[in-house]
Amino acid sequence: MRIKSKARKKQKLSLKERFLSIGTNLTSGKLRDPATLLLWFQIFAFGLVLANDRENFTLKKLLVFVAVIVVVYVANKVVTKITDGDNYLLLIASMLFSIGVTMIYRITPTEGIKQTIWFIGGLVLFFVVYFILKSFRGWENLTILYLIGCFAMFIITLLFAGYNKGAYNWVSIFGFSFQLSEITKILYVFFIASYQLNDKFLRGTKLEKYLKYKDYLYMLISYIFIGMFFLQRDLGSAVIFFSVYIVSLFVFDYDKKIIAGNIILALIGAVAAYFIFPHIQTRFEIWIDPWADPGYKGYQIIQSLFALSAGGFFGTGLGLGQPNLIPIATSDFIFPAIVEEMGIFTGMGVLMLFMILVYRGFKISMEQQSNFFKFVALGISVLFAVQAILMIGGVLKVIPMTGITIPFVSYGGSSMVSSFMSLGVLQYCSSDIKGRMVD
Amino acid sequence: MEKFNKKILIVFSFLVFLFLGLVLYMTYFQIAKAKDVSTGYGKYGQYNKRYWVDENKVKRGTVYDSQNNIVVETLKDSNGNNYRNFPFDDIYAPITGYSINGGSGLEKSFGKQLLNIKEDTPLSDLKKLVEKQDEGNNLVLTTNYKMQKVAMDLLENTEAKKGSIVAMNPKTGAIYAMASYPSFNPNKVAENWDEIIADNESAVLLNRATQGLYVPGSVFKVVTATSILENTDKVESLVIKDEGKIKIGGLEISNIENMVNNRTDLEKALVKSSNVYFAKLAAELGADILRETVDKYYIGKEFEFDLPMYKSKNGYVDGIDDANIATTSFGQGDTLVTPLNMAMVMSTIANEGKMMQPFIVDQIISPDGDITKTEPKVLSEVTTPEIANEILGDMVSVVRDGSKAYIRGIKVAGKSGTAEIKNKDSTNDWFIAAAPADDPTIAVAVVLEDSGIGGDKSAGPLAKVMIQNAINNGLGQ
Repeated sequence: MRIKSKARKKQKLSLKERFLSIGTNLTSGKLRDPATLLLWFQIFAFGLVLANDRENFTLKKLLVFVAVIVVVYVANKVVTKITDGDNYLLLIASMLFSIGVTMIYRITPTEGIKQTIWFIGGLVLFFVVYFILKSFRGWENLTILYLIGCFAMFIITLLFAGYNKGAYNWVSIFGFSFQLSEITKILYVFFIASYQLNDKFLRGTKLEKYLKYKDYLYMLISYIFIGMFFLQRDLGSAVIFFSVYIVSLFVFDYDKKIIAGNIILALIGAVAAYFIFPHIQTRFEIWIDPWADPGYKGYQIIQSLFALSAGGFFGTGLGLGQPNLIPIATSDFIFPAIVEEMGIFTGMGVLMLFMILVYRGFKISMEQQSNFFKFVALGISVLFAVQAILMIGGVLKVIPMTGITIPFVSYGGSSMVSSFMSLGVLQYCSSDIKGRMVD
Repeated sequence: MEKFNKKILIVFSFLVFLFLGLVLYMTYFQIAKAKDVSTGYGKYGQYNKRYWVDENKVKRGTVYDSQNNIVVETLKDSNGNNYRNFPFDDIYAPITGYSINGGSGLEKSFGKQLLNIKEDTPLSDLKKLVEKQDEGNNLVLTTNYKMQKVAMDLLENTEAKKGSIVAMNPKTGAIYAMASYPSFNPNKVAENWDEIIADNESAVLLNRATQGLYVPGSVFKVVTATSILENTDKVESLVIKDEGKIKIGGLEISNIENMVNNRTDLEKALVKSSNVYFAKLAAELGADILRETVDKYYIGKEFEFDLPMYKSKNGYVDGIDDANIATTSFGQGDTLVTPLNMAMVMSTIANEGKMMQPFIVDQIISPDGDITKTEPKVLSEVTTPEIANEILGDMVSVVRDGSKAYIRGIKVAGKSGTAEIKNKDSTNDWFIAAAPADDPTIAVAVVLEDSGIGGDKSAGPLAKVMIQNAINNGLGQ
């Protein structure tokens, strides 16, 4: 009876009242749920890109996007059911992916479709990683294994790598190009955490007498990694590793002099690298003055700046700009492409989403009771933050270009897969905050 | 544990600082830098393809010459793509330029008008979404196809095979013809691009009329003559004894073939093209006065023109010595001029000392039919009508006294120039002329590169034909 009268009352609303109620709806009930907001964003954004590409419309494409929308919605609901952890992580990643795939599809539809497949694969891995971490104990004791894993990635890369986009770090597996350095990053974070917190791996072996050199060994190993990235011409990964390394020195309370020494050492190394490697000189020259060679060396960054300036605060509108003029617009230069058509404000939105993601990562780290997962969460968060800052700073010409991808946004399988694996790790760290590994 | 958290918080604060830094920088970039960047700081705009890739959506305007001939038009190819058609092939190429690879000539300098790109305002962006802007502005030029073709043919038939002719209305600054040879076919630029770029020797893409910098030689004496007449109180006498050679600042300066002219006034100095006369009086005037006159003629000074151009060079540089002042006075020093600039000098003399702003685009017609017409404008008040007319009269004597530019029944004022570039056999041959001297309707400058024949013999007849054609076609009436 009551329901009936309520319905009648609703019918009586005048047009004006209904109009005024639109705003109030936003803050009420359903729409406040971020998953629903995300759903609406996806429906509108994917609808727009499909309409924009209507000449090549097929039912298959529509189904792919519908499938993505459903998968995202379900995955986000599932996360809240199976974990008591932070269910915003996946929401943020899904939002970043949605912005990214909208632009990728708008520029190159085939890559857009592939990206959705990578995304679904990434989602699966997210849950797989989460459950694997949950199912076993003693992750902090596998120091040697992480180290071997890191070296294995390097060796595979050195043996099988092909040259792609200026770096020797792409390995072709069954026709798929993959950057193993993406996996190395996660292994390195695990390695640092276990190396710093667990010295059992040296005890009781012949190596025990070297225990006093532990700190030096740590630095040596880290610099070997960074040096290897330099040899592969993968400057971005080298900088990311160094950032995680310096953060670890800081957090694990190394002497201030050692930290300062490391930074000075890195600066000397950077200057030396500048004189040894011509490609680093080129990157630096382009950064200082891309206009010196606008048609060739500075071409990429100048096209990026043109795109950024073309968009204005609100963008040209989806499909109304020309982001296809930027080289490799879907991966390295996805950010200026987004800004051109969706505006500086959306660019800021992407930055803010990363900031929230990083904030939640740090929050998880601070709340985590286990020191091992505390640092793992911290390391993963630093990875996300540094990648976003390096890449966005690079295309804005605030810092030299390093040629890495933006997690969840840029086109690329390896980036998507490793980002979701990292996110899975973070998810686990959040759900096991009051876990059994209290030290 | 707490110690860890404190440090983690510090790391986080640092990262937030970086994130916010990027957000702030983006705002700063959009407000302060975006506009300059999008035009490539004015210099590298051609790399911003956003300005020239629209061509399939917006139909670039048509360019007509003063006789209503279509000089450039937009056509559609079999795939429905727009392309630019140049019906006159290489004849109009020095003016129109080409539209691919960033463009040149009018296609470049009037690209915005041809595509009807309005000044960027927030409102114009909104309008673009609403209004369908699919047509550019049309241009009407001041040029005359017959004159343009004659000029190009004349250059083609010289021995030098390289050079430029500029013909203009001295009273308005309107350009009748602007030829640069060798030229190129703008319809085939895309297909011949690599070949064209590789051929440095011909440099066909260079518009010699506005971008060719030449040693002026004796035609520059007209400029020096202006300076002398304006400053008669600063020279001992306008009449000197020309002994065929003179020593100034340790340098011996001689006339052509060491000719001895004896008693020489300005008229005779121009007729005989006496180097000694100008060298002697220029040394008396000094560099400052001469530099100022050259400046007033806009040699070495920027001015606005409808086509891309290079700046000429004023040879009276700071700290110049007497020997160099003397050689510069008769056009053999550091001075470098464009043919356009020399045509403007001739026009000034023919227009009672007033230099008009040269222009080649007469009207801009919007798709709605609104016409923007170029009004003639004085660029520089160079000298008084008396002085200009006196020089013009002397130049009439120059042509009457056995010049190849002489035309029976028409009073032609002119001056030849033979500028040595490497040695006596390698010269740039010049001729500047205006006619009819009583009421000039045409001024012309001719230059032939590396001709080695002598200005009057090689360039003089070209100036003559140009004048005859202009008068027969009733230009400037």
